[in-house]
Parts: sequence; structure tokens; C-alpha cells
Amino acid sequence: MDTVGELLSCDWREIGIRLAGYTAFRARNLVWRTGSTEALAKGLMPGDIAAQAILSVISGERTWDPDRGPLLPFLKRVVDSLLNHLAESNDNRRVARLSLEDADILPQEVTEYRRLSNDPPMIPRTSPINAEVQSEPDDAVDQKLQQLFAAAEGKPELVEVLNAIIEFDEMRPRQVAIRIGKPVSHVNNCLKRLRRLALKISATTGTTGPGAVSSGAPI
Amino acid sequence: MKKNRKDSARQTLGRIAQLFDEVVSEELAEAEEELRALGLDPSAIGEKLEQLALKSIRGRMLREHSDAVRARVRAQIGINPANKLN
Repeated sequence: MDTVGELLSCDWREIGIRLAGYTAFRARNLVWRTGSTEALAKGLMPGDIAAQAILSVISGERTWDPDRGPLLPFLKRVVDSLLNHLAESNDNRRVARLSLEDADILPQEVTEYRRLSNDPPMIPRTSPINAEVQSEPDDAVDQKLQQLFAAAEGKPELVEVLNAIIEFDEMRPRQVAIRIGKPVSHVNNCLKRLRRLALKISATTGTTGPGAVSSGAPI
Repeated sequence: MKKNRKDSARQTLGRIAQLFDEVVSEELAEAEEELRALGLDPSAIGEKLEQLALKSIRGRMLREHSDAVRARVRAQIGINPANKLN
């Protein structure tokens, strides 16, 4: 089957939900990390970014080869690239807002999007911007860590993971698992719980900036 | 000394954030949950993205079909686009 045939046979409804959900996941992490929604373009919602990724692949701007792997992971890498680009760029105007409400004027709009966008080559998800927190004041960084530790208090398995991250500088769940002598699934589970706590703290304290993502505001 | 401690806090936060990125779920239910956490309706988003994708694919098919027909016609009447007059 050719690429177009493969694209036609996809369950786009499910792919759309999965991709937008992935975008929301990554965007919420980014907002928590930077402490501000300013890192991303104002007005862009996860659905908009997922739409841009989908359109760039269907239009052929990003070349997906079905023989080299399934579509969804490829689309996720496009989303990573778009999000990294948004976070890195001071000039968010380079990314056109492609509202899902504009679907009626597609596919002509695709050409317009391609002209307005200036996407970089694929950037790995673990790019340097993911490893550092640059845009937040020192006090806010300290406060964020203290709040996370406080929230984990009374949950020794979470504190153990946090301590391993600090003590051993580990950046992968597998490495943390080796350090504490527990299965990777245990570490992953702890990290998911810690993330939920972190996002909850951000939403409660408003450290994610005005119109925090939890309220349905643009990312 | 103080600066080092601050840098260390930043690095720690960066590492934790990176580890959060590592635990993305492949489950549909969790993708829906992420969207709901932002106050968004997963079904509505899925439906709109589906419409968008199918419309875009149809556009691509039409474009590729037109290109193929044009190329066939050119071949049949012996026009080489590389030799066209200015």
C-alpha cells in the first residue's frame, strides 16, 4: 500500500485523541518546568499543535515512510519538534495559529501554514531545553522543589525516587531503578504519581502563570 | 557557593522534569485524561482532527491525481516541460 493508502486506512479519530493527549502531556510538563505559559505561543491549544503535526505529515512537508515505522510515533516526534520550537523561539509569531475551527477552508490552508511556519529539523524529545530550567527565578525553583518534597512526605517510595534523582544525577527511569534496586515499572509509577502531585501544586499555587492550564486556557 | 546551590536546584528540577517526560503513557484513556485536565473534550478534539485529516488526505489525492494526469497528457502529446519556451 502506498503512503496515501496507508494514511487513508488510519483511525484518525483515535490518532487525533492520542496525539492531542500526548501534546497536552508534554505541554503541561513544559509549563510546570518553566513556571510560565510564556514559553509557548499564546492561544495555541494541544489540538492546534496536533493539527499542525498531522497536516505537515499529510501534506508531505514531513515525510513519513510507512516502511520505517508506524504513524503515531512519527507524529509524536513532529509534536516534540513543534513544542521545542515554540519553547525556544522568542518570536512565536512564526507559528501560525491553525484553529480546528478553520477545518472548512482546508486543504488550501495547508499551503498557508507551510509558508508561515519555519520548523526546524527534528529535535529529539530530550533536547537541552528539556534538561534545564532557565526562565524561572531562583526562589521559584527552590520553592517548587520544596513543595514537591513536602507533597511526597509520608510516601517513602516517592521520597526514595526523589532522593535517587538528586543524589545520583540520574535522568532515566531505568537508571533510577538500578540505583534503588526496584523494578523500572515501580519507578515509572512513582514518577507518574510525582508528576500528578507537581501539577496539582502548580494548579493550586498558580505557579504555572496566569490562566493555568488546568483551567482550560491555551498552553 | 550560593550560586552553585541555585544551579544545583535548577539542574535537579530539570532532571525531574525530564523524568516526567519519560513516563508518557501509551494508553488512550490517559491521553483523554490529559485533555480533560486542560478542560478539553477528547471526543470533540478527535472528531475535529479526523475531519481535518480526511479533508487534507482528499486534497493530497486530488493534487497527486492532477499531477499524474498532467504528466500523462504531456507524455502523450510529446511536450517536455524542460524544453518549454520562456
